[in-house]
Amino acid sequence: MSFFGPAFTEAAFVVPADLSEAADLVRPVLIAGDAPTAVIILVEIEAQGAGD
Amino acid sequence: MAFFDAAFTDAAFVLPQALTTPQDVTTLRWATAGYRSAPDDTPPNTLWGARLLGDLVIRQGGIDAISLGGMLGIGLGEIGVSDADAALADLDRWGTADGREIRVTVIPVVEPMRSDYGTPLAGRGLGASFDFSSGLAMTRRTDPTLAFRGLIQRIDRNADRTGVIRISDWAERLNVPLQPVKFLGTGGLEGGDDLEGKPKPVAVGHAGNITPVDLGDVDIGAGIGPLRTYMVNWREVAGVPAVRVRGLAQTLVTGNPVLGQARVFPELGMFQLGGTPDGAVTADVRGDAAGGYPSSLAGVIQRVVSAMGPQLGPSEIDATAFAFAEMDLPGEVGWYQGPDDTTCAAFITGLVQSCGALLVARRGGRLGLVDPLATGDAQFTLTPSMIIECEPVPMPLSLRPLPREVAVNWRRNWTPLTDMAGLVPSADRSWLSSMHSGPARAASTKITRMVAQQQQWTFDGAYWAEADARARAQKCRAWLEGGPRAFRITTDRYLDQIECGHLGHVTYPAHELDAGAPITVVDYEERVAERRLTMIVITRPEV
Repeated sequence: MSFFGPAFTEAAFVVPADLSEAADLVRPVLIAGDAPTAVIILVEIEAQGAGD
Repeated sequence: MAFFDAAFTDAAFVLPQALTTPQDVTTLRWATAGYRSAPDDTPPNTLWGARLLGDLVIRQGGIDAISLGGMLGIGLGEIGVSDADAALADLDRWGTADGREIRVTVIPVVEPMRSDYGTPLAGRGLGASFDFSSGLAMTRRTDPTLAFRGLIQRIDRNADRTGVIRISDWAERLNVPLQPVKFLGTGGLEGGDDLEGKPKPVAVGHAGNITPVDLGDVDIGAGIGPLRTYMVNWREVAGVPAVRVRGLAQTLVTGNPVLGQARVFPELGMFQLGGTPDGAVTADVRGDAAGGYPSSLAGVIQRVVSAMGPQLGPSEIDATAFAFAEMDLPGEVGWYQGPDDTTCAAFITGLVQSCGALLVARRGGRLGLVDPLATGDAQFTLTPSMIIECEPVPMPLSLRPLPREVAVNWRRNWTPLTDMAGLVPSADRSWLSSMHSGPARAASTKITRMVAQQQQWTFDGAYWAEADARARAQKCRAWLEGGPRAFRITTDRYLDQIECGHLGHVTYPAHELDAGAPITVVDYEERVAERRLTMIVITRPEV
């Protein structure tokens, strides 16, 4: 026996195809950010047989 | 009790690390101020020594590219490095880092007294708040950003105990031979002595009237004996819809061809003629089809850079940008390269310029394709409070005054014929003797009325169908009729994110921008430590 009554139908958990295709093609939205703070720049370099 | 004796040990089924990783490669870590990663970071407890001098400038673009299309590398200004302890000696003398990878990461300073400045490499939540007006929960985080990934050109030392890291332009990665597969010259399908060492032909998309490579009489084992054989592509093609001798179409058959007939072997990228030709042999080809037949500009470029030339992997291609390019730049295109050496860059530049698209290197080191005339929802919004400076800049010379007409050629003829058989129908003669069909034109009565100098904007389109060339011309005309204007905008927002081709919206209390205007980024320069971004944007018509 189901927890739900006989008339209950589960909601469709699959997004309709036309919606999901549109969702795939959403340009990424950029984040403005707050007033900028100071930053530190890190650089990583690969070198053959070299030590710092 | 185990099945094996106590002394038994399993054989190592994993290759020793020494066999799978390059040996003796060291990662040098430098920073503008000393930074130590947290114990649970990757790598843990690692020091980035204070060695970088001055600021770092990342730049890309060129406003002129908007009128021509082409390839935009991403540039990183030189990075100054302290060399007081002669740490650059080997890097300069032996070039130990030349051609190897460089990664630039930006770390926001949250807590200046901590050795990781409050920003561990894995990032950290700074707390949450609830906005009652919008009903949204907001979380604040501090995260490092990958500002740039590319290859080092070389590292030089200066006289004053400093050094300079010079970065390769990303576009150099495409400056490799297009076709690494060569003819062996051993006869048969590998060509004769005259072809030895020459690259095999490359045909992508739908290319018209190309000159295939003549392999001579070859028996390819189809049970029809040796016949005159021609190669149109180095591997499987989608089809060869037309074969011509002196412009006269041959009948395509599936059995043994006789004089006036040809048999196509799509899986080999070849066809055979039933007789000895008495003049130029040409063919229309629907090209490379190993693993599917790409025919759009985005599909064809993706095929070329992944299967030929630099052979980029999926992680080196910006799939989202290519998905949008597929939508923004529709139509079947085609391009061909015979058995002559050329670079991947030259091959692709011809293709993207044919419709004014831009091939761009992204900050993360991936390759993207954008249509500078694309329209859509804004990805970023600039309001007056975000803008430090906004000034108009002149449009490229080729777009001033605005062209009144756009002309896009279609169905390029790769082998214009001067000697044609008498039986060639007159309908075919015109295309077979010229460089292309068309052009498809889109003239603007609005601009014609306004400009004194009547100028035309022309693209040598790679489109196969007239309808696609016409659609492109109309899209260009709609963009021109919007009256595009260019502005240089300096801001301290959207740092580490802006790329060429991004769509935005700007409002500014001058230059008739009060009501706001949709814009496209065509050029940017970011000074990383100074936290300033200067970009050149072009307005586009309201959608």
